[in-house]
Amino acid sequence: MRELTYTAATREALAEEMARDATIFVVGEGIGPRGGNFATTVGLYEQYGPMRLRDTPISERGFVGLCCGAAMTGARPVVDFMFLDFILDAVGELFNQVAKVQYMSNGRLKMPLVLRGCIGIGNSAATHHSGSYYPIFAHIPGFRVAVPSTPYDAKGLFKAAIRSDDPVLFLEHRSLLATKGHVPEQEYVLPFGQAAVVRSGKDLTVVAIASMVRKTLNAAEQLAGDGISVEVIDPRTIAPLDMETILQSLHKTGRLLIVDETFAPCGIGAEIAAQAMDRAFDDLDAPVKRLNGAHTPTPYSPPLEAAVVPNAESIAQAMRDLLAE
Amino acid sequence: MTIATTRATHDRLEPDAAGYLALYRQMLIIRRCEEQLVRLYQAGLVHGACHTYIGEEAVATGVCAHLTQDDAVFSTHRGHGHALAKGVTPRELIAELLGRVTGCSRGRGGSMHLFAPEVGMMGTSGIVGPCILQAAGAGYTFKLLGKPQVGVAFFGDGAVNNGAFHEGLNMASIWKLPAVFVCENNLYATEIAFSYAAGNPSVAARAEAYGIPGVCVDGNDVLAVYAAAGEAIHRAREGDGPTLIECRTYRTRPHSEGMRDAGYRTQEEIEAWKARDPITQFSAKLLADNPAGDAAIARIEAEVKAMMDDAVEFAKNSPFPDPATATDHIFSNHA
Amino acid sequence: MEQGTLVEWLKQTGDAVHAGDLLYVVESDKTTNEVEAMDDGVLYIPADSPPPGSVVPVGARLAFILQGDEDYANVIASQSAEAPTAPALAAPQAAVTPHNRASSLTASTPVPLSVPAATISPRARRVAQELGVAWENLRGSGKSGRIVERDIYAARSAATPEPPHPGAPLDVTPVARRIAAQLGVDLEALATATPGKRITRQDVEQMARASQKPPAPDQRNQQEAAAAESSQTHQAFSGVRRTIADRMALSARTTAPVTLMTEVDVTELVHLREQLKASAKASRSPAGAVVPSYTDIFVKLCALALQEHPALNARLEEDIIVQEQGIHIGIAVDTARGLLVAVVRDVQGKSLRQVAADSRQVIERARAGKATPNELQGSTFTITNLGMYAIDAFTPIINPPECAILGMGRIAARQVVMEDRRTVAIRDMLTLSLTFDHRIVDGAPAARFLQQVKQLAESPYLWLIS
Repeated sequence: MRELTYTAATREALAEEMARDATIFVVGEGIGPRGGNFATTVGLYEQYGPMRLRDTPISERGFVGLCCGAAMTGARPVVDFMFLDFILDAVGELFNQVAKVQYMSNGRLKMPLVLRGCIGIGNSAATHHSGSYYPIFAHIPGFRVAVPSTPYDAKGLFKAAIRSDDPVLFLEHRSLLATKGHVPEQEYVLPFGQAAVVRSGKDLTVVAIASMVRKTLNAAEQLAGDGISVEVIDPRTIAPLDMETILQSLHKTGRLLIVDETFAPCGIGAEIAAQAMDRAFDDLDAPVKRLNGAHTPTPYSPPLEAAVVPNAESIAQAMRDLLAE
Repeated sequence: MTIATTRATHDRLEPDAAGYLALYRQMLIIRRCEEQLVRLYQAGLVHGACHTYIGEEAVATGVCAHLTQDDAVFSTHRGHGHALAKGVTPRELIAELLGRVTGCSRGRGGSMHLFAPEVGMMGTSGIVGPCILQAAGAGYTFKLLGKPQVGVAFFGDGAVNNGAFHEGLNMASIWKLPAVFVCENNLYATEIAFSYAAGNPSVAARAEAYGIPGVCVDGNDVLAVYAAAGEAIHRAREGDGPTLIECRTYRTRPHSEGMRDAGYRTQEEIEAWKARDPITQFSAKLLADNPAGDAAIARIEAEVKAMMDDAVEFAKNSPFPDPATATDHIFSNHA
Repeated sequence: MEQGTLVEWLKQTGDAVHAGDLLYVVESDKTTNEVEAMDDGVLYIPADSPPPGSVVPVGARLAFILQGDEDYANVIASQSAEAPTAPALAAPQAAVTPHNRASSLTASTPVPLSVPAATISPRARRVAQELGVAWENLRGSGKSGRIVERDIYAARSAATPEPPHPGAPLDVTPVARRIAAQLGVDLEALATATPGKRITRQDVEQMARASQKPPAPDQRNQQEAAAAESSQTHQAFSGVRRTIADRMALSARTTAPVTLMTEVDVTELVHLREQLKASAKASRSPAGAVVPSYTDIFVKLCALALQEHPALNARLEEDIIVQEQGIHIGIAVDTARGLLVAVVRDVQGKSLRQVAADSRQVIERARAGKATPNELQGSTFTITNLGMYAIDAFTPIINPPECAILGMGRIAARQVVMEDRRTVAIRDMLTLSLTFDHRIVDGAPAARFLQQVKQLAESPYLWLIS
């Protein structure tokens, strides 16, 4: 059984897709001969040259707007932001143009654009290299948002992202990039909007996102020692969001916890909680709970940094608290 | 009806006789259509904003005369003229502003969001600046795919102080993209004078900073625009990269219908520019060059009038979109 | 508590109101409360406010207390500007704003904080409904007492004996089986309701009567039905009546009641009471003037018996039988508003005179609608006396969550064969009917308890001196 790192899995997906479709090109800072700050494009420049592996000036708004025009006219651009924080310079182009073109043209234009970047707190990256921001994009009509947590999911969803005619944010958590997992050699594509039940249980449903999936699985293992059976769901894409799988699980367990590194207010956990109450009120045996990263800019110093992110212990505690409700 | 393109029949710097009449006809279509929209606005049938192009017709006409339907145009909030010159029919334009399902954006856009990809009208925008980047992006696609087309951006003097101008022209330059950047310098960004907003009074001069050609022409002289655009589009198609064209022109109506038009500019200034009206000037030239032009001009006048009557009638009689479709087409797989 | 009856206004529109003034009277499930103002101002009762006598939901707006120079029209305008449909406020204090703004008076719940209404998770409520488990009196195991799903399952397993295995032969007499078929009675359901008992003809007929509904008027009879309807009176099914209904249904649904009856020779007791009456007449102190009723006497002697038989002074809580320390005897009281249970607390430590004084006070307050909730709940054993209506024996229904209830019939002179089996004497006889919850206690201990009550009643001097 072949094992690949998360980054190798997405790189393989990109290479396969670029070989298949000559309209795909990648833009970003250092994605040409350098092969990407996170090794996302290693080896591709040599194969495809500068038109398809396009190093850019530090012009995030500029190249996002440019890729918008390219996508409208028949190309399939992949924007590699390196750190997703840099996307914020391009938000106007994304929200006002990229997300709206298909709608405003009444479906006559397509917007096959992939926006990828590294997210997440860790390694003392401090506040300009650790943002995640995905709930903001899920809030806007017109975006697809993928937050895979395993190499397998990353490859399958990356291929789906590239083949999609919609703009897709493909977000890779820093703590996952070097993790290894099974990736089959034969080709596969994973559909958007299908959550994975990564651990089944009966006492409690935990929806965990991106790097929180692993931490939650660790916490669930701790609780299993006490005879507590936790079901863990990885939505894999938060737009579209597979509420059906979450609600099915909630129907079974009656208790729901959402673990997410991003901010709680107006976040994806709030959305899941609201839908659970709206659509499955009579399944709830306790209030829906959220465990989020602190609502703060990311600090630098390691003890400060560790204090703002949920960990296996705080997740386990949140599970126990919810069971006591 | 479709608007004929004349590229094949004339020189890129100087139209032939038929080309002259085609330019006149195109400018007149824009003018008469805008006048109809003003009337409809005053009658309360235009539901939202209405930014007219009256006084600037020579720019869109002179540039688009060189374009085919496969070339991509990106424009601004003052985009009616670009849409018409690129091939959107008066029927579709008026119906759009009346919010009808037969409008070019099927009632989703209105004055500021005109989409007709069938004729290469890739969209006008309510945000100043993005069209510059998108035109560069279209140029990127054409270059990537080895196609001979160009991307053209129309924007006002207000856009050149926006970061998109800087980033877009720079990227187009370093990657030699087949793109043409047409600045319609009508002296005011809404009501802020360009002489106030820019440290350098010349837009064209900025081209040098990006290492690309920059030219400045009389934007009320359709032949001057025609010649400059012909050269720039030729360069782009030949793979020589982008050009910045500054067209000095003037809108003789307020920024938007219903807005006041005093305080930031003088009546004398407006009258002086009206005296340099691009259509009147060009018809005078046609008549001077060709004493028999009278009949042709009269014929075109009549044809365009009939076209507008038909378009208004068509738009008024068109149905509104079905409210059930209000959330269709947010994503590609949605019917 | 979700609604109450607005009984009357104690202030009227235009009256100056000071914080602490009594504003209106509201009747809730069991009590009548006077609601006091939290703010100073001038009372304004809008024309569309519910009139006295209306049943209003908790949180409904009844009136405004205008402050300063506010006038009503402005208040309404500003409120509707904030929210087109003014939200009902949950409690009066929520409407009080610190600055110069009218505060709304809202119907408030008079249930004191010490007795919070049961909270239940949505899921537990759904499961309770699906399983037919009454949750209103459960104690939740969730945070701050919230009833959660597991509590419902626990209550069901405690309340419902295992249903007979499907397909297992039912224990039914042949006659009962034939009649059940004729009357359309579900024997399975009947077997579930009366576990461990052979189903007889009587059971089937009783079930058939219970499930019989008044025939729906057919089309021909519609006019007559309408005429009949117009001659009926309609009474809101709310307040005390609804509470009684809920509690009786809960009792019938969740308990396994068995009634034991015994005749008691109360001749000596009657003598005793005559003497007490005479002594009261002579007494000069108000306390001494109280004559214990027969009910009071049984309150006292039941407390004595319960001390010996604590199994009857118990309640079932989830899967635990809780024996109460204190003996709090409830007395069923017929009031104008319906049946109430007045509670005499800690009877074991009180003299008969004290019991009599307490019971008189609490009964009077209950009849006047002035009893506090504490005086109407928390009993551990209940006595109901129908003797004054010439009832001899009956099957009382348990007052949940208690284990047992004692019914007293009338005291009547009867011919009795005495213990020597030779003498026939005229004696004062009373029938006691003890209904107990067989889930909590078995028949023999319950019978022993009743036997002791009988002995104490027949030999009152024994316990009076003890």
